[in-house]
Amino acid sequence: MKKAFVVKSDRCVGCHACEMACKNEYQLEATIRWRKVYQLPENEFGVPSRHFASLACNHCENPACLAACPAKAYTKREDGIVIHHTERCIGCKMCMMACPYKVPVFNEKIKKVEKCHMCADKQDRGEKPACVAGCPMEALEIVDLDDTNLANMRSFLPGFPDIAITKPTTRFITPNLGIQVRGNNNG
Amino acid sequence: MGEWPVVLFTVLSQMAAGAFVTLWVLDQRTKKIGTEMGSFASLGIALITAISLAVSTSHLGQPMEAYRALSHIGTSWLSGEILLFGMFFALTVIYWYQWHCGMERKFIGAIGASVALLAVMSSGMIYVLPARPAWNNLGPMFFFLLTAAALGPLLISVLFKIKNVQLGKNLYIFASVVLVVGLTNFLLYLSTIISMGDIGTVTGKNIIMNGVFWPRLLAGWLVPLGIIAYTALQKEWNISRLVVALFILTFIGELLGRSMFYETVTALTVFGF
Repeated sequence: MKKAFVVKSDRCVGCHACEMACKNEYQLEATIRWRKVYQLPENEFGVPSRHFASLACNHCENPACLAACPAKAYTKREDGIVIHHTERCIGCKMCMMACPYKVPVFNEKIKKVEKCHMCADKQDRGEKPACVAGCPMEALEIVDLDDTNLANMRSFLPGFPDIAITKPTTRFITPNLGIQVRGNNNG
Repeated sequence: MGEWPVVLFTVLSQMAAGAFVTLWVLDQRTKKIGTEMGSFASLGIALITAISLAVSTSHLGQPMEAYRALSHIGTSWLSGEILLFGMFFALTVIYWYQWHCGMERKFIGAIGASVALLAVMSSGMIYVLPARPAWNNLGPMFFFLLTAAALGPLLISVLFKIKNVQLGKNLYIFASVVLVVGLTNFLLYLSTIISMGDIGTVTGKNIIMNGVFWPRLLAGWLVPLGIIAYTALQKEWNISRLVVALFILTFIGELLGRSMFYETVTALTVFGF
C-alpha cells in the first residue's frame, strides 16, 4: 500500500479552505501552515491562465527529511505516510534544509519542527484527512498508488521541484485550460 | 543573523582540527617542540573544540536534547559530524595529557589528525543537498577543509608566539598557498554557480550583493596575503609582530565568509515560491 494525495488542479479554485481545515484541526500557530495553496505560474500552460495547486507533505518514497534527521524523528509507515515524531525532534532544522518542497516548518513557540502527517490517526479510524474533508470543490483525495488507475494523473506540474530527488507520491490532475475571467477585468 | 551559532561552531571546530594536524605534523617532523609548548598548544586546541561544541548546541531548538543528534549515524551526516567531533574532542584531551606528561603521542596524534580531517569532511557533506543547488557539490567540503588549513597553522603560530616561540618561514608559505587556493576556489565556485542558471545564479548574485562580500575578500584573503608578501620582501624574515594581526584578519574573514555561506544560499522554489 502506498497512500498519496491527489491534487486536482482542474477543480481547485484557490479558496484556501484546505489550509484552514488543517489549521483548525490541529490548532496550528497563526504563522504555520502544514498545507499551502500555491498559484501556479501563469505562463506555464501555453496560454495565460490562473490555476492553483494545494500542497502539503508529499510523503516521498525516499524522504530527504528522514535521511537528514540526526535524531530519528521521522519514520515512514508501511502505508507510505511519513510521520514526524515531535517528541524526538531537537529543532536542528536539517529536515527543513533537505526537503526540496519546503514542507517541514519550524514552530518558534515549541522550538521544534512540524509537518503534515496525512491525518494518519484519522485515516486509521476510517476518516478522511481534514484537508480532504474540508475542500468544498473535492479537489483533494487520498488514493493507494498501488491500486489506482494513474492514467489521468501526473507526478508533477510545471514549477514543481525535480521529482527524482525524493520521489514524492503526490499526484496531480492538470488544470483545464480555457478563457480565464480576471477579477479586475471590467471590460 | 540567526546562524551565528553554526557559523561559530563550524569555524572554531575547523580551526581546532587544522591546528591539531599542524601541531602533530610539526611535532613529528621537527621533534623540537618543547613539552611546555606542546602542552600549551594542545590545551588551547582542546578548549577551542570544547567551546565550539558548546556553541553548536545553542543552534538547536532543544539544546538539552543535543545528545539525540547521535541517533542516526547511518544516513545523517549531521549525526556523523557530531560523533566525529565528539571523538576529536576526546582525542584532543588525551593528546594534551600525553604532552603534559611527556608521553609518547605519535599514535594518538595520527588518529586525532585523521579524525579531525574526517570530521571536517563530514561537516561539509551535511550541506551537499539537492534542495540547495549551490551547495549540491563538493564546494562546501572544500570550503571547510580550506578553513581548517588556513586557520589551523595560524592559530598554532599565535599560540607559539604567546610563549615567545617563533615558527619557521615554511608554515607561513603554507598558509599563503592555502589562502591563494582558498581565494581561487571561491572565485571558481562563484563563477560556476552563477553560470548554473536558475537557483544557482540567484545564490551567486546573493553572494556578490551581500554586504560582507568585499570585507570577506579583504580581511580573509587580500590583506593577509599582503602582510605575508610584505614580510617576504623585507631583507630579514620577521613576521613575529604581525602574526596576531594575520590570524585575527583571517579569522574574521572566515567568520564573514561562513555567515555569507549560510545567508546567501537559495532553496529550490515550489511553483516559483
